[in-house]
Amino acid sequence: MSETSTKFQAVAFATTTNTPHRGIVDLARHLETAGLGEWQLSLITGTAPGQTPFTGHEYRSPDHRWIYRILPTQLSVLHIPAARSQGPPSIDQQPVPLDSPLDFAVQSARILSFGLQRYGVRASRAAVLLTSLSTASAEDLAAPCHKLLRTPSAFPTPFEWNYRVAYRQDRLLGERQLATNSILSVRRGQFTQQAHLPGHAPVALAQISGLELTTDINTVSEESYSLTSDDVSRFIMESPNWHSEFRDTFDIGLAGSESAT
Amino acid sequence: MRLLTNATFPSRGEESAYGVAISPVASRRFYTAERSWCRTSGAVLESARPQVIVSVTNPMGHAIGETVCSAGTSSADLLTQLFEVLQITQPAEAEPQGRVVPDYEGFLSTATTSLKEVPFEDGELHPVTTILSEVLERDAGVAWVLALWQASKHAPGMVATFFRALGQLPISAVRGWVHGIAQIALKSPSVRVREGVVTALESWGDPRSLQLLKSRGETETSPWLRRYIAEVITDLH
Repeated sequence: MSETSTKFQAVAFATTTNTPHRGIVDLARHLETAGLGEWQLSLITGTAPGQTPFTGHEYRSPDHRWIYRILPTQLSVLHIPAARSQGPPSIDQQPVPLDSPLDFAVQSARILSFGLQRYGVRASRAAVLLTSLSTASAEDLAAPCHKLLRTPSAFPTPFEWNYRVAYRQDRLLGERQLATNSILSVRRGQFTQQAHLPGHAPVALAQISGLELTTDINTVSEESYSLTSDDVSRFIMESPNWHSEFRDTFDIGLAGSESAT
Repeated sequence: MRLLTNATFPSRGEESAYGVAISPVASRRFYTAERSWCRTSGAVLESARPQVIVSVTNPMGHAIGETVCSAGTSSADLLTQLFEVLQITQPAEAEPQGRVVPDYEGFLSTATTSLKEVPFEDGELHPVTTILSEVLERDAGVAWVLALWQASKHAPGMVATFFRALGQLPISAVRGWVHGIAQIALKSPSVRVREGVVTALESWGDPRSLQLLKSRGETETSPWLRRYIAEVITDLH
């Protein structure tokens, strides 16, 4: 059984529709200092649910592994981590591998927080999602199904299935208590493996059979918090430990795998 | 040159879209709008031409202005020029007087220089401590400090000083985010960095710091640092 982190995402929900354009310029300049190469800026348009047209901005790192989106109702950072390098992690190596949830937290907290500050807005909600993919033999991948689901004995083990549970938990952010949702999603199915080459859009390499596991910790939608950019930074920086603790409470049956955290 | 086939620039205060095209000066050939989004970086930077013309058109396709960019212009500078063409001004940000750190770039520059050049002396306040203290009182101060951590993380000496300086701040100023980077830095192959982090954790002395120290104490490979961690844990109990 091998498990690799496949996607990290951090979101700050905030209204950016009345934003001065200086925010766009400052963010572009800020991202250039983030050490991830020359980011590409896209101005995107679309239609929100309810047929409302919107305009947003998207910054992509050259290898498309980092995507920073500013939409009318949210700012988000999406990261596709590179495969972990062999050997112990080193902060003296060049380039620094930004492939752990903690590394992602540092980078995304910094970027989102700077965006909120430049746009002069506070966030009503915050969320961090971590996704990993486990691959193994069909027999090993069947174990979590038997652990998590009750299926009819008349059929063999399903080759596709979903499992999702959500809990309410109060979490401390410094001195502040936040009501949060902690969500675990497990999905068995086929997943596309992609190659990320600098200067090119991701290329689909192959279809992989595996088990995708996502933990999502977010502040509840019923509460509209007024989170400063520093609050959002703290939320994101605390989240890797929250995710790790939350995930460790489940016996999913992924024998031999290591936590992606 | 690969850029912009189309751009939709929202104008100030309204939702109308502007088309933006870029062309090499020599050929004067403008690219036309075809897609619903654009890329502003890469093309200019990768251009073999010394200069390119950026032409801005209104939603009807009529040219309303153009600007010349040098090859190598960054996306941020390009945007600034485009906004000038669109007559979008950026309001100046008023800065309170008497601040040690005037702005983000100034902060990064001053703090990294101090980390690099001013050695940490026990019992003396490091200049970076003063800078960090002021910055952390600002909105997005945490993000600035995280940026400084990222900017200095390649140099073990700077990281060690960074943590020792952070350790001179009260835990209330750094709680909720500092333990994450301490956790990363404790995995550094540099014993100097690990010692700097341990010193900071010792001075904060909160339960989370104690937890990190205990965890590190189990895996620390340097005998003298392992002994130091054990002493700190005993003192904090």
